Amino acid sequence: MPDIIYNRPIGHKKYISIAKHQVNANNSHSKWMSVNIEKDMFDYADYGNYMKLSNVNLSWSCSNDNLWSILEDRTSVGKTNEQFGFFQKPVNQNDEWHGFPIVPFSKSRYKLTNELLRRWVVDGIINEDDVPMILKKKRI
Amino acid sequence: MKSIVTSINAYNFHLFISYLDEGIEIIRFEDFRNKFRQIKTPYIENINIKNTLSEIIFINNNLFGIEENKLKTFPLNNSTRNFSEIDFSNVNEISQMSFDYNTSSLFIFDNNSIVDKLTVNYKNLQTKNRFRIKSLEDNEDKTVSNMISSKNEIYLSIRGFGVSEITENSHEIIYRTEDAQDVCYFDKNKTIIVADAFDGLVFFEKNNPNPIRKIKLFDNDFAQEIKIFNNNILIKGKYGLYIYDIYAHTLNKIWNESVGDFTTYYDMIFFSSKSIIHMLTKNETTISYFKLSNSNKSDIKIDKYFR
Repeated sequence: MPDIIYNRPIGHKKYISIAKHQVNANNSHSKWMSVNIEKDMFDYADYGNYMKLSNVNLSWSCSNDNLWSILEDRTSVGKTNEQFGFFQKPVNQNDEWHGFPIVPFSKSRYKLTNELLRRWVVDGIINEDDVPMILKKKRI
Repeated sequence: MKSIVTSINAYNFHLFISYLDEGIEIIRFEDFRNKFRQIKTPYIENINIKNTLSEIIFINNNLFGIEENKLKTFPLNNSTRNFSEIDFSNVNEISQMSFDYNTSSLFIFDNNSIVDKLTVNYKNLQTKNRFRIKSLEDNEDKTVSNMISSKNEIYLSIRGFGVSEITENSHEIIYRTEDAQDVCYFDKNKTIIVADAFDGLVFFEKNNPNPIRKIKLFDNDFAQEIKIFNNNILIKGKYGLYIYDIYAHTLNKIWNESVGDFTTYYDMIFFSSKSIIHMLTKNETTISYFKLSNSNKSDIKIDKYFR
């Protein structure tokens, strides 16, 4: 499967689905369950809500401007049961974003900030009892 | 907004409650039963730390924690009140740690698929052995959800994979499950128990990769953590706490709401649920004699299970 451009509304972040993270890729990288889930996850992260409404909420971004996402029903988005999506900010502003399914805190560079965790609790995306489990790399 | 509890630990008649962005509150047990020794000098009441500690263990009145993938230590009965980083140049990015009180060995897992076995003398760590985890070497995206040690053997629960057992001579045995969240080892009958998000509790005989038993939690709940507790298995599900009798093979639910973090101390179970700290025990005497100093941040409720 080749890389797949996701055409988003003008003025929004560009996105590309990278082949190595697609479901049929043959490698050791984490893989999305489907390209459609990948696109939805990026939309939720970018819009900061599940309705995909722009200019309503702040993006689900960390202090370093990377984006994070989780489905509303918390089902797995990755082939090995990952529930979160991680989208690293591109080096150049006009470049496409890309991302992959992940377990937060699996590496130091994949750290959900306290600020975003607290915001998700306030907004009801997760609850306070999920926070210790996310920090411990458990399924929620 | 209420404080968010990130971890609960109990050590030496003190409860350690960590909060998101609010450091660690240390609460002393008071008026404890006479048969237990009383602690003479209580620990300090708070540890101010900006970042969250991902792992906490206690060795000789020192708190050891992993902060931003670095190993830090804090003296609990010392006026220094500073966290200090332990210079441990062997490891760049610490992910998990486990202390074996029987052998006084500290095991540290880093994100380069290596476990170091160390001796601890306050801040001085000395490597005694290194274990390479072969099953992780070819797959850098795998996540270790917990590590325990028992008699110089290490068990790693690995998300989306199962459990890896590594012996002193680096021999590795794999116990496959769907999505391992936690693992414990029951030495009395040589059983490895995996808390798996999809398979439930999965029991393996040591050295046999084929499971001998699988137990699901009730009402589509799933297991997130397990601990050995008074010769039983205590399970934290997403929607409650359970006790599994390893001999009678019975599962009972003892708490019916969501749980944040939990720990055990003698016959007591401490846990957070919706920003309230609870203590559960089945022993009426424990409830009668148990009292905590007041917490500044959390309500603490004491209750009995199996009334």
